Amino acid sequence: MNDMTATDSLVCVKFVQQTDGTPGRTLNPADEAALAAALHHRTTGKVTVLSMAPKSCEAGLRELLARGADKAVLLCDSHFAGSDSYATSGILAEAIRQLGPFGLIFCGRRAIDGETGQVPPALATKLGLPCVTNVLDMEPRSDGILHCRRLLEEGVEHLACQTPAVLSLCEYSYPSRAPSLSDLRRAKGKQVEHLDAAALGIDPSACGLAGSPTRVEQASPHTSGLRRVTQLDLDTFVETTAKLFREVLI
Amino acid sequence: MLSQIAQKHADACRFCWMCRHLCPVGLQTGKEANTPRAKGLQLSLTQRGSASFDANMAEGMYECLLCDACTNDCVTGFEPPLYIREARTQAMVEDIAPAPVVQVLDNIERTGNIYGEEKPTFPSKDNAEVLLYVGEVAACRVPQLAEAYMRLLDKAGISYMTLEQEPPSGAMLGDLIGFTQEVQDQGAACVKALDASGADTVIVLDSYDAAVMRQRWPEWGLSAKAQIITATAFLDQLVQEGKLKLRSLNQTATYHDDSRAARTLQEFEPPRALLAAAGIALSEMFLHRDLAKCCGSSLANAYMPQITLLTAQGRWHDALRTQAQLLVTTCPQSMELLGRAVPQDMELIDLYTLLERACE
Amino acid sequence: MQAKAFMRDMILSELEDIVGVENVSTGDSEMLAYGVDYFWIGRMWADRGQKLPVPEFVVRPKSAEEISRLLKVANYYKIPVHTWGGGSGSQGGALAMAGGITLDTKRMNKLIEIDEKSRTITAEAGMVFQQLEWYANERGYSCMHIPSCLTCGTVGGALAHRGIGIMSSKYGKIDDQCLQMEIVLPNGDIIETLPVPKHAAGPDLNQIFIGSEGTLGIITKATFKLFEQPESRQFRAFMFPNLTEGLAAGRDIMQKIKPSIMRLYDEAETTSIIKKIIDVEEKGNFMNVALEGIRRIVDIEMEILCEICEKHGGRDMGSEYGERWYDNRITFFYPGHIMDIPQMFGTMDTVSDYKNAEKIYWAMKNAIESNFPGVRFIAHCSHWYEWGTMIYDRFILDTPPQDPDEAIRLHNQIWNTGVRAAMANGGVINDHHGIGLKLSRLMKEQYGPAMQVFEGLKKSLDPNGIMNPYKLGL
Repeated sequence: MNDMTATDSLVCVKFVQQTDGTPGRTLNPADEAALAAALHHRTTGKVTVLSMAPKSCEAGLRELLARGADKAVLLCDSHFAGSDSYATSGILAEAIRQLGPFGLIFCGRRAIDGETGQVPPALATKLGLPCVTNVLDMEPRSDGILHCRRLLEEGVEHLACQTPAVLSLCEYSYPSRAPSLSDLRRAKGKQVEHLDAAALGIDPSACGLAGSPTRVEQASPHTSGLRRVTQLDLDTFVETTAKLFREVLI
Repeated sequence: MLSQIAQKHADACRFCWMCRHLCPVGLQTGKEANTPRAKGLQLSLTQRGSASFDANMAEGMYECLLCDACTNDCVTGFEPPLYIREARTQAMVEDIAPAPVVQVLDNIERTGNIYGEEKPTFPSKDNAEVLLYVGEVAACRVPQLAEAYMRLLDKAGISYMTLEQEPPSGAMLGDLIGFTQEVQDQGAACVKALDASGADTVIVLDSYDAAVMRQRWPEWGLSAKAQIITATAFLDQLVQEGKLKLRSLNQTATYHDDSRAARTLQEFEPPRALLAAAGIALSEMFLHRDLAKCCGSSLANAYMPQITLLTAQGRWHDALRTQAQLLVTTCPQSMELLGRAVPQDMELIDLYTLLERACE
Repeated sequence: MQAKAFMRDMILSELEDIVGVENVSTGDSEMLAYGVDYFWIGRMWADRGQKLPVPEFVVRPKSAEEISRLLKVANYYKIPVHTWGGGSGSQGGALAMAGGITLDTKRMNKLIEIDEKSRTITAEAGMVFQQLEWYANERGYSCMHIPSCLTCGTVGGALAHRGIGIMSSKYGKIDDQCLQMEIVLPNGDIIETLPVPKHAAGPDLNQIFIGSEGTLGIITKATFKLFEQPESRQFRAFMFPNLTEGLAAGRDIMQKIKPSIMRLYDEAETTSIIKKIIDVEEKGNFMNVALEGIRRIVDIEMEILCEICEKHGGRDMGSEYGERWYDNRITFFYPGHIMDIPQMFGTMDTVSDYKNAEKIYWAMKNAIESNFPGVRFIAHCSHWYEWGTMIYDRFILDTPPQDPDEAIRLHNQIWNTGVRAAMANGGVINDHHGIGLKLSRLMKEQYGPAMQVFEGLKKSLDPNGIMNPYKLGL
């Protein structure tokens, strides 16, 4: 379990669809910041990255090993498919119980695909830990108290909290760090660990669609309020603007 | 192992032939492996497990000037240097980089510069508002360019300082091993030194340094307090403000845009404005501005001098077809490289030495 | 070649002695670059982790003399020699299917002469064609050989497979544009074709080697026509009610004026292209024409063009489409725009007289679509003559079999079916991509007893059969 003396930390990450429509997945931006924060504040402990994702995301996790994570765990099972934020947080919590103890659990504050922002607080509830959301930066103290700055609608809040804790980080709050040659050498040959529902001891009825109280019925892109933006070189810009003026004025 | 983004680019390039006509190395060596397609294909095959990333492949990844001519040509926005840089990182991780490359890395680790020499220092005033960042190539190999520039500043009445211990910007190491943490650390140390100098303007003599400062530092979360400006742009301002008066030299010259100025900084007008101000008629090479063919880099020259001799000759070949007998450049690295292969009846000169003549 | 003990090293030193140590490669990784050209099977092979057809040695000579010495060595040891220029051929013609030596010509990239008096340009054959075009452009001229592979292929490559560019209807195909060549024969003799073509001194030697795909010798130098850059280039697009009228209009245009670009699309391609460019779903047969040269003449040609098209029911669609197409003419060939793995695809270009053109189109389309469900077939005509036109037929299959052997089987069945349909109806095996490995097996079917002419040439010039084995049916 998680205890206040634990120096290891864990980062929950999600691989989301590419925003430019190209195939493949990419690391959710806020999760980038979560990993960067975990690596930045790493002292003597190890950093584990954890993702519930299809097997195709293994390459993404391997890349995070190369970027400095000490251990990567992929939660992969056909029963997990279709899990909502409630079911997901339950699965993650079970994995964290098995993998821990951890002093700090880092998450991104929201994923750019689902945009719920519910997993970090739900995870904290299931683990019985305090939760600080929208973290901008933090300062861990030796007395086990963590001082955080969190983003509010109209300002910044300074907040102290006991550890262990679950934190959800704002996008770009911690700049991504390139791996060093020694990180990369260390990552050589490291494998991503796999855990499925059976290994976690989770009943299939508690995950996936069966374990999810909510359903996404439909998702569609916005159709109103979209601006059409075209990049023009200077000559074309002048020509186009002149044409528009003529059309409006005449 | 490549990052996912680099793998995406390598996969896109593996069956695409469109940019090979612009590769300054491929055009000279005639090797199929010296094409972005080949490098993309090789890396793509290793990712699929049907080839291994061996010393032979690593060597090929170093036979590239990272000049971005291919990137500039790609209408779909793919960047071969992205995966070539990562492959260099991988070569270092696997300890299969060619011996001359490892030697250069060793030089950088020992002395901070690719030559493994103590870097000369230049006269400096204390607490000037302007700092001249000389860079290792100008300092070690083309001091006449740096000195001419300083005399021009003197003539314009600009008080400037230089750093006694000038830290590297990260440009050389980044090209040698890819953009790893070590390179970012170099950049951070350089920012610290620039900030500590108290200068509010940093003039950068070498476009490779300027490119990394302008393009990469922000990506790494680094920013210097001072404004960073290229030496040529700063000089152009001085002339425009009337602080530096030039007389007409009444000559014809051709101008070599180095690859970082051309394709990272996209700085084309200041050198041409300065040439015009000195009464130099420009006879452009066919491939100029963003299409300029790279003549080689000092880094590549340090580990593959046989190939960079060929790339320098390749660029001279372009110059020989102009009306000019004088080739001008602002880039210390181009001075080092082109200086290795000056053809008969041609003269190579840096812009600042030339402008100094117009000041007399 | 069977390597025994240190014999390989002995041969390697001979090759190095000729071209220099730095110009011979044997490294495994470097060979991979020669293992894939533009041929679909090669790409599929690479994509699915199969072993690639690579040579044992790559040599990069600098002159015809070095090639001569290399071929003498290769002949002595009976080592196969495959000539590689840009490696951008779509027919597998440059792949080292027999192992041995790949001779990369790209170091032979010198400009030899621009003769402004005669309006010709001469260069070594390893030069990328775009470089040659730039040399011409520097002096205000153009070679007017503008294929989509302009930046990828070499001068020698364009000649070896008998290529064509988008301006061909006015300025000719590569075999019209090339005036003279230097060739190294398999036995090492360096020969030159006559100083000019159009003589009456027997058959034109140029035409024996243009299209010979490295099976009869290695082209090392060539002279091409230079054209003045046109003062004016004007585009006009038309929509025809059907292919019959479009083809008839094309013929009438070629009889009266000389367009540089003329592209007539079948209904399937028309629908997708029009949708892409002007975002309108429209059926019919779209034609895009460019006229160029002296402005006064172009103006008159434009009037005639419009009259002809109107007569055949072509609706005038203005100039904008053509200009846009021209600006983006090579964008199509970049990743993300062009067909690529995992799709299976191929271009079965053929050429025929006007009498058979439409018949061939329908025969190929029906044969492919009825025999291979799920395969799409699209076509356009983009190289025109007074007597006929090229038909650029393409097939596309979005989800080919995963198993590489199954994929090759299906690929070859589609090709056999399409090409046989063309040949049975008065078309030919290929118009401008060449034969290579892809169509080698069908050469005898195409030529019948006439094939013995090529076989005789092959036997006498290359008795040991070392030159590019398995290609061109030779």
